[in-house]
Amino acid sequence: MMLDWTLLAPDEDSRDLARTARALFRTLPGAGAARAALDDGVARAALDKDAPAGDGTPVAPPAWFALVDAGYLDIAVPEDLGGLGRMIDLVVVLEEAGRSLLTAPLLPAVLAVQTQVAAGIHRPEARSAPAGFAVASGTVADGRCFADRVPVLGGVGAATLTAILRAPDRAWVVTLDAAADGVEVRQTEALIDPSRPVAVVRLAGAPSQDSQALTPADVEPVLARARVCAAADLVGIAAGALEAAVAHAVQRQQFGALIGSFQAVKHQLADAYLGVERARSLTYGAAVAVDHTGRAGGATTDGAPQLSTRDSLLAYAAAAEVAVQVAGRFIQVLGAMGVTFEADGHLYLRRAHQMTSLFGAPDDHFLAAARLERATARMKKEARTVREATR
Amino acid sequence: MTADVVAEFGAFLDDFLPQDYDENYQRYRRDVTLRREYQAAAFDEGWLIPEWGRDEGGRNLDGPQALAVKLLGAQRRVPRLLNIQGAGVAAPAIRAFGTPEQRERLLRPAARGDEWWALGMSEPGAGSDLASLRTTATLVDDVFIVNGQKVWTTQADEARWCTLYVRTDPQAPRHRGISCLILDLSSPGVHVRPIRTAGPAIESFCEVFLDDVRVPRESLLGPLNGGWGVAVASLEHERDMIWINTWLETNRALDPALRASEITEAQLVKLGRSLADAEGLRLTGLRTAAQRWAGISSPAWLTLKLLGSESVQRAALLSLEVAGQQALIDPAIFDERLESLGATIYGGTSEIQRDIIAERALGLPKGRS
Ligand SMILES: Cc1cc2nc3c(=O)[nH]c(=O)nc-3n(C[C@H](O)[C@H](O)[C@H](O)COP(=O)(O)OP(=O)(O)OC[C@H]3O[C@@H](n4cnc5c(N)ncnc54)[C@H](O)[C@@H]3O)c2cc1C
Repeated sequence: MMLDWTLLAPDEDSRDLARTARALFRTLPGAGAARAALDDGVARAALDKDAPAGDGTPVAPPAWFALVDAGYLDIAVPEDLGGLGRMIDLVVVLEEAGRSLLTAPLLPAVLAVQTQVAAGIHRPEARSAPAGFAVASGTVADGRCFADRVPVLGGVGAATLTAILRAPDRAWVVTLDAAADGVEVRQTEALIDPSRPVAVVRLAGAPSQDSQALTPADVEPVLARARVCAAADLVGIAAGALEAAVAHAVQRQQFGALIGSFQAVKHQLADAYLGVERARSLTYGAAVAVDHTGRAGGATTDGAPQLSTRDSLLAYAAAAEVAVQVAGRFIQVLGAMGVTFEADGHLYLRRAHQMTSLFGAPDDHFLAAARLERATARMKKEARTVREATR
Repeated sequence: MTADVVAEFGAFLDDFLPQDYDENYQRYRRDVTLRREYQAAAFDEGWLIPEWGRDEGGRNLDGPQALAVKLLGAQRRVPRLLNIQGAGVAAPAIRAFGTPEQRERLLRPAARGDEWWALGMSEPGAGSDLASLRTTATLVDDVFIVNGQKVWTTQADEARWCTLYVRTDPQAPRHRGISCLILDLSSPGVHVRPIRTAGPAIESFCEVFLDDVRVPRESLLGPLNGGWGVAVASLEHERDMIWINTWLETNRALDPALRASEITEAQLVKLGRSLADAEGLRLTGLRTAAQRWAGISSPAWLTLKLLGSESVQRAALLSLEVAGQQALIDPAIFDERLESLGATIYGGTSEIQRDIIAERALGLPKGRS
């Protein structure tokens, strides 16, 4: 398969989209709100806001409607389901969201929608209200979901939940009404990043709205779309932290010189830049591969699903690793100010670790990608042996 | 259109490469005859530097098509050129800066591999700080009289020509007093002494002593005292294309880890990281090329040398680790590991690359302490 690499350099439309998104996100709650959430608990605020409605209907924050109006939820959804645009378009928007530490629940909703699309259970109306997303151990029997502890990203204030529930020998993608019987909220406080809150829920026989059973082998391909979105968010987090670190390095002086002129600082930032660009390339490449594979990860003859699964694993692993690294480096470059509440260092670090804790450590993904690549290499070798034997 | 061109190149490769090339790649990799014949055949068919005009031995392909051809070449692991800096660095410099006479005489044999080239930049006192070079050339009656010494000059013992960087104006600021001469290495007063390398996989390099060597004025490449521009353009050209080579070399070094019947989880993690290196390198190369063609600035391009050389190193290290005790009795594995360590030194060390990235991509101030 030959990749059309002109797709890797986002075209005029994509760049416009990124510019518009950046401008919009600047007007929406970001770093300030993220800091405030640590004191006030946005989680509680969101729950309290639910209360006046009285009927259990969650009230979405105003910023949510700005995202819906901008059409961001529709990107990379197939046209017959009312969507438009490609995964790379969604990637550039999510990157801007990560960079600006957006607190509005864009990412969880996108993860939910894209997982539904991958599993073939997406309904357009799911895009109109905030949605939570989770990957956890659990089972589904007769349309009822059981799981003990499910940390749902964006679970506070969500109208629906989308979860990948894994049992040892199979898995399901399910969507649930967040207010359904059997969805029991167990924890919404004491979060590492309350500005993009996680709700831990218990599923005690909650009825699924839609569900799709998967073999264990299907899980990774189905997760590919969500993983690319997570990678985009992480690239944005890393890029935001790097920009902020550079901004500090060109204004703080010590020893009579800008600290950005010290090679020890320069080289750390150069490595950070290389890491961000490497992760960004991998994420764009994975986005193109995912689009090539199409909506579901079903088997095809050209090996496209394996490729997009592998690419999504590599993109996520590289982006997660670099986001954690660069956020830490930003704190180091700031000096003591880096570990203060007022500096943004911890906000980037919280986001980065929130993602790695949700999706898993980079090393596990590098390992999974390596296994996949070795299996592909074996298959190719066998195919060649057969070809030669029959010649 | 691009697909047709690539298919045609693929057919050329099917035709040229031996049937068992993939299977016995490790052996063919060292096959000097095959490598020489490949370069000549690929050049004759216009595939070696396909972006050049037809009259220069190319196919007049546009940037994307030429890159697609080179990528397929790397994917198929085409034989390595024996004198890579001839076609890769000297030829583009002659094409860009040469007089019509120089181009007519030198371009084709350099690109085809018929005449080998050496790059005379480094000196004992001028390594990373190339602008401090002290070899002098004094113009007397239309002849440059050259005195000084070069070092680390790859293949100077086998090459016919050398792009020699010399100081032609000792009074001018460092960068503005340098010129590039085309030196015939068989000239009287040139003494070449090979330096023994630490292992056989490292290409031979030499010391070159220059003692009242006479170089005719017509052999000046580019403007008098404009040698720095020639050097910068040459190195940029090198950085531009070297990533495809390092991508190939990284993939090659990953073969053992991909095929090993036994491998630990720790090694699998490293393999995954190296796959991200290889893909990250390829995709950054493609992305920045696409940006350049679209007229968008692409500073990420500056990372390609650093990422590529470090990728090769990590892959070669993994390959040695995966070999286990076999590495004790198969020196070729160690030799490749050793060779990979040169990658972060030649063509501008990694430290210099990081300075360049920090200053040009991130806008950090100059100055080092
Ligand atoms: C395999 C191989 C082939 C080569 N072929 C050629 C050739 O064909 N022609 C040719 O002209 N040259 C060639 N070279 C030489 C190469 O270009 C130089 O080795 C390189 O520029 C570094 O110079 P140096 O070896 O003098 O190291 P130095 O410049 O002395 O550097 C030594 C160490 O100090 C570090 N250092 C130096 N300056 C700085 C700084 N400002 N900041 C931080 N760290 C610094 C370097 O990164 C390095 O780690 C070759 C080298 C190798 C390894």
